[in-house]
Amino acid sequence: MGSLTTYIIKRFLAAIPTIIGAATLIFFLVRVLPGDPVHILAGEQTTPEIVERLRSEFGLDKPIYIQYLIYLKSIFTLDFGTSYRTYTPVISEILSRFPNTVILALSAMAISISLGVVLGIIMALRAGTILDKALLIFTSIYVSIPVFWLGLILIYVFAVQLKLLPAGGIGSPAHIVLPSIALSHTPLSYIARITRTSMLEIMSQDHVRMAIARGMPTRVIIFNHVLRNSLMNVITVIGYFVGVLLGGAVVTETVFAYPGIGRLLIESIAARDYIMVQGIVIFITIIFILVNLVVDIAYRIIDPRVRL
Amino acid sequence: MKKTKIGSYKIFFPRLQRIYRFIIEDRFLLAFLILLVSMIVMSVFADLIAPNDPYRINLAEKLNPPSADHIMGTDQLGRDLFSRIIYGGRYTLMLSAASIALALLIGLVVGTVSGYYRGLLDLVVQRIIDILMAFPTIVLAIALATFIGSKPETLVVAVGIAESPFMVRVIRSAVLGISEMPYIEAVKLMGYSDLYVIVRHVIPNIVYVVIPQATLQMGSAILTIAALGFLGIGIKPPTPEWGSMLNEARTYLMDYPHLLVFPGLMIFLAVVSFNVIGESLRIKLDPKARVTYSIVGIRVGSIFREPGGDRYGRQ
Repeated sequence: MGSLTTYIIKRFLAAIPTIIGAATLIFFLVRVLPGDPVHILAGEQTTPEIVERLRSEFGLDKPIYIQYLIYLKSIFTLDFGTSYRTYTPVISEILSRFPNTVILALSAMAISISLGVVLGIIMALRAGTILDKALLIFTSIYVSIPVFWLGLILIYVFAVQLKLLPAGGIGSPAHIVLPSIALSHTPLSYIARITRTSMLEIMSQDHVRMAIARGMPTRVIIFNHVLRNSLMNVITVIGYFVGVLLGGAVVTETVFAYPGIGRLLIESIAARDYIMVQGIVIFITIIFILVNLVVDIAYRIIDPRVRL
Repeated sequence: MKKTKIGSYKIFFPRLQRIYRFIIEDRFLLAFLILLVSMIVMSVFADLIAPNDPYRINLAEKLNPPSADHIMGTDQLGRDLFSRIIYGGRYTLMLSAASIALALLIGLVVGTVSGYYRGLLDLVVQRIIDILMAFPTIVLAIALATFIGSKPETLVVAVGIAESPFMVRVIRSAVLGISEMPYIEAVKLMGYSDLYVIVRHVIPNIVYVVIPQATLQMGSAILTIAALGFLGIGIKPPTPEWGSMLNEARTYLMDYPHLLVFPGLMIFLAVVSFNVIGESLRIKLDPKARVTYSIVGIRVGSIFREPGGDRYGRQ
């Protein structure tokens, strides 16, 4: 247990430079942009006094290294400043939208894991048959559909033509169905393939052959010996899919006018609210890093053979 | 000089022949190869193929469904959709190709140097790659495009940088394996410079890793370029880019679905072709490769835990 605690602490400490690095990258990107956000905010008819006041209000009159230090401090206190557009703190705006994104990502994850694992099992058990080949082709075709196109098709079929589900927005559980189907399509295809391959790999191992030789029922072998071990491989890539889902959420939320942080990002870019853009990008990155950390630690707890 | 030529010809020719036979035998691959080549030809010779000017507005014929005159119909400004689709390939496909060329350049320089010299340099480079990988690819591309601008050149830089960490990782781990080989040691002992060793002996031996990887990442780059166009951050109307054409079509979704079908179909066909071809190339060129699960150009398999390394292949 002692080594596990050390491991967790080590991983947390290792995540900090990555977060600082990512934040630094964003800081300098914002500073190299040619347009001056203060001028955009102040509008066409403005006086130098107004510009000066805004500049000091946002701390842009200080030397760049002071700005950088203040900025770094703000990352760790999660105080990303005040929005140029709404004058509300960026973090409260993000936190009010974030639960919607979490709900969307979780339901997409639920769809992709349940359907993906089932498809993977079917493919592995029927490996080499026409069904297996058809599903393999299906997964590689399905994953190539652009998420925004899939979203628009879903809206056209289920909202415009069949009038079964709402086209966008939020409010009832029905609103979440189409966006989460659209968002789940990439991880679903991956998970199906990963489940298939790792099941096939495990099915050829000695302990499975042994179980067959001992005359154990096929169902027990599949569930207790094969599936349990191959789901470990699925768990490893969940952290990676959080990145896919967060990225996909930006597009999906825009298609379905779904009020999550992805749509907030696109709205803020359109409104040139760079403080907000900066805050959201860093927020998404921190979430991504932390989730990966948690997955790594969880994996280490589940599978003690892993030494990192 | 002549001797080397014959030698490399002998090594190279059977391999090319094998690839040729492989393509001919695999009907599935052949179909997608033909599809892809025709899409590229279509974009290159858009001036000759397109029946109309993609920018010519004709409000008298706006939002027409597909007909004999306009085989894909017309858009909200009466522009011929078929012509816009053909010219759109120039933006979507060419910008993606340029982005991957940039990512490949970054990958070859950084990945080779990092894998060949190892040590402190490698450590620093890998931490920078960790930072770039901490952003979801499309979020990094969005952030870069927002802050450095959405002209075609800057878009290429944004998507190229966002795609580069995967390329660097893959090339680095291939170079790590190659530079441990005894023959590299032998060439070094013969007194050749590092540059000579890298260019003549290391890079030719990682081609089989680089080509499939670049092909697979093309699929990912096309999706990113089109997504940026769709989100209004990439190529902007009236330029016919497939993603931004879909964005324009959204407004007319209810009544004019033909505007929605064709641009999306083109993006999809391009992505699926690159994925299928990349996947087949990998199987053919890199038979020793561990099972990888690369569907959208990213080797999910390479972030798998392998003995002695973590999810990103770090040792």
